[in-house]
Amino acid sequence: MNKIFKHPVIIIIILTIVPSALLILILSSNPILSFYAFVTGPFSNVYSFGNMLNNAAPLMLTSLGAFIALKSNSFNLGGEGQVYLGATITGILSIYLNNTIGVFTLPFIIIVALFTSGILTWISAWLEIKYRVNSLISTYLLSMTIIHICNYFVTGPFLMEGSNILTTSKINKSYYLPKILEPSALSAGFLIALILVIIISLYLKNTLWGYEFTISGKNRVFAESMGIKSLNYRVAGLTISGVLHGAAGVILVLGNHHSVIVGINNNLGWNGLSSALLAGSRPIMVIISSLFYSFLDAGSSYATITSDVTIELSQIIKSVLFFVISSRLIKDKFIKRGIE
Amino acid sequence: MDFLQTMAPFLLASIGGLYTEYSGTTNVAIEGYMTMGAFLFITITKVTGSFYLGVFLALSIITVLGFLHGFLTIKLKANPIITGLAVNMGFFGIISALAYKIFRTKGVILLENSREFDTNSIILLSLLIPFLTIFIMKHTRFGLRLKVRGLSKKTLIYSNINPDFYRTTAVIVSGLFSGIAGIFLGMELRSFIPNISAGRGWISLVIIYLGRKNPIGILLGCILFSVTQMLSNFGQSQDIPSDLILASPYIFTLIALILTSKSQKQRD
Repeated sequence: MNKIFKHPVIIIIILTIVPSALLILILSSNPILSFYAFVTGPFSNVYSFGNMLNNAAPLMLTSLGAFIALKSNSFNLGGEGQVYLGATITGILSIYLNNTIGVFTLPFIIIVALFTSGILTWISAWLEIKYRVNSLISTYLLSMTIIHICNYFVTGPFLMEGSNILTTSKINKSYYLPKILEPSALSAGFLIALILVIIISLYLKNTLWGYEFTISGKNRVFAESMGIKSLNYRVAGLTISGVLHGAAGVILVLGNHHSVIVGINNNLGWNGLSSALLAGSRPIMVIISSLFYSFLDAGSSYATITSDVTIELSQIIKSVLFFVISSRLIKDKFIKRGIE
Repeated sequence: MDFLQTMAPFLLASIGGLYTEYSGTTNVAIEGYMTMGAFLFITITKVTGSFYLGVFLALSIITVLGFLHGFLTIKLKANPIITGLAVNMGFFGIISALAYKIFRTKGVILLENSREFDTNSIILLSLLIPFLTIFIMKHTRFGLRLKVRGLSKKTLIYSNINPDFYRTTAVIVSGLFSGIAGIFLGMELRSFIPNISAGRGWISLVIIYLGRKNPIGILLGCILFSVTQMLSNFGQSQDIPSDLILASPYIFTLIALILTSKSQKQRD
């Protein structure tokens, strides 16, 4: 029991709840009600609980993507663009190939989407190695470029006429991921994300490849001296990161929205990054941190409904969380094993 | 004149960011500070009705925020990039929450007075700042020590100088310059719109790297970037889709980064 309270994630959660309670106190005219709604709202019925899990699915994948990039010792700040790219390609191809529905159409679409988002980060990794362009910057620049290009496709050739939001038309019904918890929107995407996290977690833990990957991320010089080609692992880390972000976009379209809306990425990239940092050193913790994040979002929207708190509450809380996560002081004080 | 107006915010923000680079960290939150500057300026001017008070209070608040950002990052021994992202996120959240609390809107905040603001002084300031920075870094005690802070912390400790002071000050300076850039944007539009900085903060970060972290290089980088920006504005009047034009500055920046890196490689 004592060991549980020593766990970094638990400490971080406690350290975050106090400032957020303070925030609600300042922002809300009825703090007690707001806070109660914030904490209990998401669990109050099946519908909202399912929706919370459904929103956690793409976030889980983006956190996993950010996690892999961090593990290979590079930052991927282009998550937004990669998610959007995966989503846009899925949506647009689904609509474009609407007349040629076969057994292989959907797998083909998904593979193309994942491939392109992987290529995007691969370019960044390649630029870093070949031209020494910092991947932190190139991922961001490429992502911004891609966001605008995707916007062009969504608001241009594929825009649905007569809709009051900027969106493409719905994809084919047969592509929808099955719902697994009626009446909520929870789709099989959640299970897919869960399985992916578990697979990658096992892979990193129990295979030679995973071990070498971790070592080259931790200490490049040591890895090189052991004969590990650490550059390859670095490229692999960024590429896989991009593929996972793309997968988040695919699930967004197939499981959540069924069409591509402008700005469908909705801060998933940044939130994935912070949730990955919250998860710390073990990929399996990505599941818990993503769930916690979507709980924060769901809670804020509940607090918004019941009182005059704005939806951005969760954003402010997350930023406090960020500070707490990245603090080495807290790590030194409480945690023997370290977060990273 | 149009060109200088395009350039001013980039120049201010990237030179501000240069100070943090000299002190050995990176301020990722330039975007947030810019938006914050614009928001505070418009809000305070609207509430108090006084333009000077708006500028003064906005910069004072940004100084406090910058201090907290820098100081907490050092005291908590946190990763500056992560705290920068946190500050960014927090600022945008706070802006929305406050805008809703004060004006009951999350959208555009208009300054109703129709008087045009004179932005020439800020443009002039932005042009002087690179040269001022060169002077400060070469000939003042503060500048030299700031540089030393980036090179080696131990040197300052052995000389009995507080190293944290210089790093925190650098973050404050960076925040202030970005704040001035934000105020400039607010003055131009005479209103605050969400996403007023439109990626300028991030671009400024890129310009710092593009300019090899020295003021003259940054000046050249800003000129290059403003030219592409102007070209894209020109392209918008032609028949090219606006989204593709909006994407062009980022692509140009990336190409410029690759080209400068290549030339550096040949020199090594």
